[in-house]
Amino acid sequence: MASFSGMCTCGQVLNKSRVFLNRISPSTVTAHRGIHSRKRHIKPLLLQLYNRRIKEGPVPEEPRSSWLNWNFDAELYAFGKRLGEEFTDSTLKKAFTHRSFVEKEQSKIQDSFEGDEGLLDFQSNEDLISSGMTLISDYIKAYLRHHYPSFPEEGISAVHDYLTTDELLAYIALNIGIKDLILSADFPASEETLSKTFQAVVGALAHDQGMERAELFVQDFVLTQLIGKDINEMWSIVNPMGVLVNILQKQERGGPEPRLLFQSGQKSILSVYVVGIYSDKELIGQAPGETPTIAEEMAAVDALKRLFSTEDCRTPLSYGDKGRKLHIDRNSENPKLQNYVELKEVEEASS
Amino acid sequence: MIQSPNQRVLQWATFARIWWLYDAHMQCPFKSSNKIAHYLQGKHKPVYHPLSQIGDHVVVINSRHIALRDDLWRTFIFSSHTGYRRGFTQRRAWVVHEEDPTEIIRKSVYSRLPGNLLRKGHMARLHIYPDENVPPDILKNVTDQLYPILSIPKRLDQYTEEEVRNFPKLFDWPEDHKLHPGKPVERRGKKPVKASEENT
Amino acid sequence: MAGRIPSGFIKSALHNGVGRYVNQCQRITLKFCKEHGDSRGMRDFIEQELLDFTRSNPGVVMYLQPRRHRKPVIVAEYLNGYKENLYVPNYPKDEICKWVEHLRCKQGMTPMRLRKYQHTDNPSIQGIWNPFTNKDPSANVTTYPNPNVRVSAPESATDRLLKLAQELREKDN
Repeated sequence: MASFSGMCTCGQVLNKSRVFLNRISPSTVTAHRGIHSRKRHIKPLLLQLYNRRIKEGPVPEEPRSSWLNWNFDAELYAFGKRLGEEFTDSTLKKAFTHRSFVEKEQSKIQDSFEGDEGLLDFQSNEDLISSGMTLISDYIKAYLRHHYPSFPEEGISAVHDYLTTDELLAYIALNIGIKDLILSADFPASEETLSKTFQAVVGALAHDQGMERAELFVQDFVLTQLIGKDINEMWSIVNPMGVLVNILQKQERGGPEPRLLFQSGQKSILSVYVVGIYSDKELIGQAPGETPTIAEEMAAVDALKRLFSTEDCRTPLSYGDKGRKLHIDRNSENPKLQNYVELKEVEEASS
Repeated sequence: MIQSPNQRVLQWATFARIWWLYDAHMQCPFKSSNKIAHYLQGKHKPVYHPLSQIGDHVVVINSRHIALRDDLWRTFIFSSHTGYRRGFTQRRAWVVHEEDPTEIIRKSVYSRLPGNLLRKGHMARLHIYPDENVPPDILKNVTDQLYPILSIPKRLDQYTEEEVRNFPKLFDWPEDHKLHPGKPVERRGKKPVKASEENT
Repeated sequence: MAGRIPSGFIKSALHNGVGRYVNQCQRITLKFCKEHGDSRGMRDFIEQELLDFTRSNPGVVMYLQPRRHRKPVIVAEYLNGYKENLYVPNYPKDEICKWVEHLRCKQGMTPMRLRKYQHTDNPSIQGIWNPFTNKDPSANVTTYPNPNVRVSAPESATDRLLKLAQELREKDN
């Protein structure tokens, strides 16, 4: 019985270490196994192997395309179908092909065939990137202006800048399966490459299916990133009270009057004050704060939010079925913060 | 996660502590302490959670003028044990109240708070004053007042003489009616009063 | 920390379904043996069901990978990089159909314990609650202690008596 159990433990140790042993020194596996012998060399060996592995660091990531089960054409076909779009194969392939990849291939061919360039039929995606980026940028701005007509142009640009950062576009690209399909010299693909590829895909869609489809694509994948985000956080106004005074003055309304609405624990370190701002005896904004000064400033910000119709209880953006029925005016532009006041006057005069 | 100033002040306000005033004049300390303990734990807030300390402050005034029903001043007994041998003591409510007029409320609130590590923190937020003389620093913090538990009845000595005189007389005693003298009340240190003396 | 399940909140990739719905399973690899018995169900699936499956799901790339005398596996890869292996030795065809469908419909989130079964990104209309929500600002200009904060007693017998007497007196006059 004792010998049997001894055999068992040896076998278990060997099973666990099979991966290492096979690779490094297969002879140790077939060493003579005595009835009572314990292989005292195995533990130090495994330890040695383990430490070597740790020292070597993590295994570098390999491109998905180097795996056995990989068919680029099938993947391209499925990419379009998955997103519910009809791409032309050649355009889509072009969208994924970066200039760096083309150059790398060219130099390879030149090295091997001494200048025979006839075999290379890759086109790089630069024109698609630029057309895609213009489309994304224009549509985001038009969409935001449509939903927030009173929001100043500076704010619209700030939200637009947030949505078109490489970081965000790369995140979207990662999550719609662009990463594995990229043909680029750098691997793993950088944020910039991912973002550029996404823009090229939008460009390719506009090329194949027309502007409208591409814009809906942007609405579904880029603009939905605004869900759960506060657009007021993306644009901070310097001296909100000054801005509020100016706007109210130009609108011929009474100047802002801050009033203390609530307070608690003034003599403790956990004091809280709630300040409301009134104009013509009407509450136009209120906010809490640690001190009356902070509360007043935040209340001014709140009043501005309400003036710009971007308060927390604003209606949600239109996506899905609602988003399909939008009629967006491309030519309109929101008032800038400087001349916001003047345009308001014009509107009032016309109405 | 970095908060924006707006998010910061909103959170600050949500977790702000309110200072409540509670007037214990003619109130039952036991019923009152149920309410006080509720507010000290923050159970009246929709954001209440038993593990977060979001209770409010309660400033109790007039604790000297609390009211106990029946004969509880004499019969209600506060017991304590020091933990050592022969350390058990029992004191009647009137003795405890005479020694420290804030003690009955403090003890009853303490007994109504859950016995966990937060109890000490909750008790630190209870401020009891025997009368209306509250330090101005404390009184300035007060934001709101809790409604008392009981309505305060009007005593006979609070009526004016005219009101007493004008009180409707429902019936006259017959000439030969003799009021029952009743059982003389025995008071500590006082001689029982004779019925005949009382009537005159 | 063996046995400790990571926890988190319910979430969908890229707010999937708000704009349009994208199936999160991007490719499935069927690994099987051409002759071994425990791949029998898998082979049946490939012969009879695979074409229908691919036709109805053009967004999922299917790979077949025969390997000699190894257990059959379904490997599903998702858009967020998550990968799941499902070993199906000796599974009948019907069961494999169900498992493939199950893997196709999954979102590809790392398995975790959900702390809550619902989640919202939209702030409420009245804003985050604070102690001053729905409170009358007159509290700010009141001096405390406020004698008006009291419980009004229900009408007592004395009150009713006084009222009755008043009425009688008025009648007499």
